[in-house]
Amino acid sequence: MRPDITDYSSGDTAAPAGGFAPTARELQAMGVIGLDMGRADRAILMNRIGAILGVPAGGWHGQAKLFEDGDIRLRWLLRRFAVARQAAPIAGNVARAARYVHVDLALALVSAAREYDQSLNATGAAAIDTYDQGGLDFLERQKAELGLPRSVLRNWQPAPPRINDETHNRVYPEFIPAHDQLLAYAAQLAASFSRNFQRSLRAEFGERADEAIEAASRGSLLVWRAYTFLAPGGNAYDPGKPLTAQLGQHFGHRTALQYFVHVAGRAGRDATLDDILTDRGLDHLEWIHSAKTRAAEALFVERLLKRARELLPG
Amino acid sequence: MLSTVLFSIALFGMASGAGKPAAPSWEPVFQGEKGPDGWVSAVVAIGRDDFFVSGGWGITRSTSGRLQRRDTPGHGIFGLVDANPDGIFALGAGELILHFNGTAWVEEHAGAAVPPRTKSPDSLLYSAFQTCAEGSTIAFGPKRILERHDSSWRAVSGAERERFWDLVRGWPSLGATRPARCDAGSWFWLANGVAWSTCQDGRTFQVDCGKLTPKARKPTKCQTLSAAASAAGRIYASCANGTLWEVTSDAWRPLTPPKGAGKELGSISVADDCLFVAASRTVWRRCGVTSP
Repeated sequence: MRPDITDYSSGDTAAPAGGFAPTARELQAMGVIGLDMGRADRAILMNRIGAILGVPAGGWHGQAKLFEDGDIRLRWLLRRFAVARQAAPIAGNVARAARYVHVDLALALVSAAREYDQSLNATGAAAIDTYDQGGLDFLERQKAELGLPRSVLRNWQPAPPRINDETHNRVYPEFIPAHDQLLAYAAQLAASFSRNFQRSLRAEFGERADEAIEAASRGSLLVWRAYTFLAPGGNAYDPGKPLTAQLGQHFGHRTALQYFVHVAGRAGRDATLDDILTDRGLDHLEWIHSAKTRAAEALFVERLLKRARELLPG
Repeated sequence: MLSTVLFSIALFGMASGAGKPAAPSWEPVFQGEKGPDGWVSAVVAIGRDDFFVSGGWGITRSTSGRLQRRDTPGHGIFGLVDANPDGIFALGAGELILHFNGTAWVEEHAGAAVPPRTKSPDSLLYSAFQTCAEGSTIAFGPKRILERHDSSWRAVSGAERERFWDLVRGWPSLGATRPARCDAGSWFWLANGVAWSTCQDGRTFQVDCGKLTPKARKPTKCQTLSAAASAAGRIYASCANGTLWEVTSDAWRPLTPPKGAGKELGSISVADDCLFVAASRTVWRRCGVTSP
C-alpha cells in the first residue's frame, strides 16, 4: 500500500529518481493528482514541506504567498499541468532546459512560473525581449557566463540597452526565441549558484566550503539556490548594527552567509548552510520569504512527479 | 500641461561660453536635480556649447550654459534621437513624442488620455531611427512601433509591423547580405539610416543601406555594448563595464571615461570636436577628441 501523499518528512526532499524532466503524460498526471488531492490535503502537504524549510504554517503574507484564497497558490499551475495542450509544451520546454543545464528543474519551473508564467508553455522561435517579457533585465551581460552552447546562443541577440522605467537604472536585456525562456531561467538559476554562491561561500566559510555543501540538506540548498537567484549579491553584514536595521533589499545571499557565520561564531560553533532553515532572525526578510516559498513549491511539484511515476505504467 | 521654463543659471559656475577654448579633459556640463525625476536618459549635442539632455523631468537644452527646460510632467523621456534632417525627437512614457523643430519642442504624438498615460511598457517609447529605403522615421518601445508621416505618427500592424520589428533588431533585416558565420550581436542605429553592428565573435560592421563596411574587431574587454555614436568616420562606443572607446576601421582605442561616471555610460553624442557622455544624473563633455 502506498503511503498517504501528505506524509512528508525531511527524507522525502530527495530529488526524484531519474531527475526532474517529466514527460507530457507525467506532467498531466501530476496536475490531475494535485487537483484530485483536494484543498485540505494540498494545504497539509504544503505545510509539512514548509515546516522542513522553516516556513510558518500558512506561509507568509506579502509578495511571496504560498497560499491564496484558502488553497495553495500553486493550484493554478496544477490546473495548467492537467490540460494536455498545456502540459505538452511545458514538458517540451523543461526537456529543452534539461538538455543544456544541470539544475533543480522543479525550482526553475516554479521560479519561471512566478517571474513570467507565459514562459512555461511558450513555443516557437519568435524573438521576445527578456526585459519586457520576464524580467531577465541583464541577460545580455550574463549570457556568456551561463555555459550555454553556441547552438543556443547563436539565436540570442542583444536588445537595445535602456532605462528601466521603474528603477531608472540601465538594463541590458536580450532578444531570445520564445521557447528558450524557461531554459534562460534555468541557466541563470544554475549560474547564480555555481558562480555567485560558491564564490561567496568560499569567501565566508573558507576551507570548509566544500564540506558545508556536502553536509547541507537538499532543502537548504534549494533555498540557497532560490535566494542567490533572487539576490545575487548583497551588502556586507555589519555586526555592529542591529540586524533589523540591515534587513532589506540589500541583504543578499552573501550578507546572509556573513550573518550566519557571525551568529554561529558567537555561539562557539561553525556555521552550516542548514542554519537558513532554523534561524529565525531573518524571518522578516522578503528574500527569505520568496526563496523558501519557491523551494517549498519545487518540493511539492517533485512530490507529485514521484507519485505520478509510481502510478503510471512504465 | 507641458510647460517651458527658462533658466539662466550656469551649471557648477563653470559652463563655458561660445568660442572659449575648452580644456582637453572631461568636465561636467549638466547635473540632474535631486529627486525621483532627476535621472538622465540621453544626451544629443548639436555643437560644442549646444546640447539637449533628457530624463525623468523632460528635456533641457543648454546653450552656452543657458538652460531652457521643457517639462513633461508624469512622462519621463527615455530616448532622445537626432534624426537629421527631420530634427530631434524625444520619446517617452505614454507614447509621448516631441519634435524639436529648430526653435521649440512640439508635441507630435501622445497616447490616449484615458486610461491615464502611465509607465506601462505597452505605451513606452524609448528610441527611434530612420529607415534606409523609405527615409521615414520609426519610433519604438517594448510593444509599440510608430511610423512618422507628415509630422504625425501612426501605429503599424501586421506584416508591416513585423518588417519594422526586424529593423529594430537590425540583423534579421539584412537577409542574404549578413556576413558569413555571423551570429547576431548588438545593433545600434546611428543616424540617417546608418547602423553599427557586431557579430557575437567580435567582428563589427557599419551598415549603410545594406552595404557593410568592416570596422575593427571588438576587444574582449568590451563584452556588452551600452551606447554608440558616430562622427567624422569614427564611432564612439561605451561598454557595460564602464569603458569608453573610439572605433575606427583599424582599432578600438580606449578613451579615459569621466571620473565618477561609474559603469553606466548610457548615452554618447558627438558634435564639433566634443564628445558628450551621459551617466546616471550627469552629462560630461570632453573636447578635442576628433582632432588629428
